[in-house]
Amino acid sequence: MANLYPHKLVNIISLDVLQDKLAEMFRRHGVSGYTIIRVRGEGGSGEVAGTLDFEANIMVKVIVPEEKLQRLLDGLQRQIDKGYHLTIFVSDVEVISPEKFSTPFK
Amino acid sequence: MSSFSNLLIPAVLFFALGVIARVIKSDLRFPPDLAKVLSIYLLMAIGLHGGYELGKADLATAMNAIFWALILGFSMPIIGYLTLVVTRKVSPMDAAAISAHYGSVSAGTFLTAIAFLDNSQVTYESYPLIMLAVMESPAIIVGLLLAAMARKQLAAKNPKPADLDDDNGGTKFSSLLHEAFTNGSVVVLIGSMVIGAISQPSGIEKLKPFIDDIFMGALCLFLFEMGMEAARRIKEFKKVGPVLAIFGVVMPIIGGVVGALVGVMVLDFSVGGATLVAVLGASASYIAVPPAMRLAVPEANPSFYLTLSLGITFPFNVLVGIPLYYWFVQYLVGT
Repeated sequence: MANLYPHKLVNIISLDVLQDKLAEMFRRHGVSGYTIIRVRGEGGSGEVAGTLDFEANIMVKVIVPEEKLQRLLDGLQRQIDKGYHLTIFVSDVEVISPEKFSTPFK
Repeated sequence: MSSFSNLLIPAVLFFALGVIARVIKSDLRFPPDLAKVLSIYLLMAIGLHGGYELGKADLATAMNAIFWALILGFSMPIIGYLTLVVTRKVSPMDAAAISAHYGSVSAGTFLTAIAFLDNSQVTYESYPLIMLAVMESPAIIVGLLLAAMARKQLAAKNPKPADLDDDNGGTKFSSLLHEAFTNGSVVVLIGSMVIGAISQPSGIEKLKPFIDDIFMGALCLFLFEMGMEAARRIKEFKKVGPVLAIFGVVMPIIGGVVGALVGVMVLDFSVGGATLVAVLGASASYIAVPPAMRLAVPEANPSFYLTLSLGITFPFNVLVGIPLYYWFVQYLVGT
């Protein structure tokens, strides 16, 4: 029977143009991988309809073991301090293959 | 009056329809990525067309046009920045980001001007097209430099601890330069121009339905959607305030006058060609520059530069500016 292991899921809503920047950051933090979804919505920056390039939003999902979480969040915080608009929330998830999430990609 | 009737061309009317659709809160929505597809098509078609013409053109004139395009591209953002700093309405960061938009160009406005000239049966040189390609990037660089200066001044006032594992400024700047010159629209436009210039005429002839016959229809569709986007931005008019809104109208007029003078006095173009140069000077980018500024100048408020370039200057140029610059160029040539 498969076991479940607790991990953290970091969700980041950001501008499409920040994608490369975030990917580079994940690589530096030894994250195992990430998933990106195109999203649209409305909030502090007004309506983001996603029809034009410069106002498309993405949601980036990253699953990390708990010990990597704090450093990653600190890195994201520094981006927010620089003025980038990032909406970040973290939730608890359970995974069945923990080794997959401890191996850095590339 | 004659220049007013020139507004009654389908492309401009579709732009107005887009604005109206948004104002009356129609449920009309364009499929995602349509604007992107259309802008690639439009740049490709105009690039092939212009490249083919340029293949037969005079190299010295072309080089001269490129030289003046660079001068305009580097100087317009500085004029814009100084004007904005004098108003004291925005932070230096915002001024840098906004002026980068005004130094760069809008292909949508340029194509509308072509539709306008075609409709008035005015001929024009193909050189302004290379200028369109050249002028896309310099303003981004000037904007980044102005922002870097402003950032340095701010940092001197209130020093912050250095970032630890973060990307340092130097590598970032070079990757931004790379971005400015390899920007998608620049690649499509210059690439298509080269293909147009070196292709066999019979091959270009076969492409005529693609690059000529359906071109104006595609432009109508594109401006239809851009009208909706512009109207969505006009809602934010209140946020920018009257002084910035006035800048959104005055700055294109300054650019249009400078462009017209360069087109007539320096480059010695026909009325049509000089009108296109004026439009290049007047137009503000809303495709290439916003993402670059979002990435490189996060301190600047995007609703300022987007509302100005897309919500105010673009509609102004399409509806009022183009006939105005055409009239001004006629006046210059006439005297």
